[in-house]
Amino acid sequence: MIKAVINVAAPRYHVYQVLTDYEKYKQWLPNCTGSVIASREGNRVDTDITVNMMKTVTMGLRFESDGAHSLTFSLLKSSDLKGYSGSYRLMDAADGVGTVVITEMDLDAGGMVPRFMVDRMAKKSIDDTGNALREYIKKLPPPAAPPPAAAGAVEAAKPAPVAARPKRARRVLRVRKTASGYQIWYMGREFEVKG
Amino acid sequence: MPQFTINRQHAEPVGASAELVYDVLTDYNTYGEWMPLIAKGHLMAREGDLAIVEFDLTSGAHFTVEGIHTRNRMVLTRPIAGDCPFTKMQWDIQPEDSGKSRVSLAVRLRPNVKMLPSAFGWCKGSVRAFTAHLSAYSADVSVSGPDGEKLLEVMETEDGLVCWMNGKKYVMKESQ
Repeated sequence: MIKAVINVAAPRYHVYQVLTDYEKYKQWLPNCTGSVIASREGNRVDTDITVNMMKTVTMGLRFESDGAHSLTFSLLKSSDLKGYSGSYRLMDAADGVGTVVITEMDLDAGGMVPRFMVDRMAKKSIDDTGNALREYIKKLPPPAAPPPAAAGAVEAAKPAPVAARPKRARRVLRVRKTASGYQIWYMGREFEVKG
Repeated sequence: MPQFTINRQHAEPVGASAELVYDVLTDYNTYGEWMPLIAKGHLMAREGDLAIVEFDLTSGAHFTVEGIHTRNRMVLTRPIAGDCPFTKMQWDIQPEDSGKSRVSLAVRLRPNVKMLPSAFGWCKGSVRAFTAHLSAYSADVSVSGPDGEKLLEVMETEDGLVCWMNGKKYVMKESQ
């Protein structure tokens, strides 16, 4: 399983909208030349996606979303690949701006291609996809407020918020006078100054 | 194919509660202040018991990990991307009857010729450094005691820098 993390300067619902707008994949997904929706049932969407790398590969991919929290994909059919699956997990960035996207991908090109080569290709693909997503979102007009349905999905997908913990008082410097001189504590280190 | 790793483990009692140990271990932004070989830690995202964190090593290497937490018990980090020197780093916190606790760190290090000399002592060094860092949070309000008379203390608090001098408290202001 190959993993990557990127920080996208856009709210989570906006990133989710782009990732689930499957028919527009050819506008930003590297090497994607075609993407059509074959069927849709609730949060499950089956697509036919064509990518043009060393050769043209058409594959049936199933996407399943869990609110605006995560999106998984798995291979339904392909004449070239034995397996292709992965996920996007979306988290609100800690700085309050943007979205952290954790991508996982597993690619199986069959026994004819060594594993290390497949992993290298997958790593490049996952990095290129992340960069392309970031650049594509940057060029889009700033999103309006999320539509009620999307906002509801985002809220529903959010886990229980982490309570903001109070900042603990932290010692920086302490000077003590002892029987043998002075003891100086500075940022976790202690020094003795003989009297 | 299983990856060859070097396993190291070290445990020590610490003079702090499990809650404080857990809070400090999950304060990833301060790792650069105390953990050997770590130059900077940056919390990217945190939801529930999962955190995504970027680290810079003093060598210049950069990597991203996921942190999985069990409140007051365990902090586990696993690499997601980049040149991470370990495949797993797990802190376990064991509360003791005294109200204090014991921490153990277990790391699975990737063999890396450049880092090997420092890697062997890294686990023990990290626990020692953490214990020293933890002492910054220990409550010590006494002005005098068996360790001597406290002349001066500077604390970083929610109100900014606070100074105690000869038993009196002063709130420090930044001078422009």
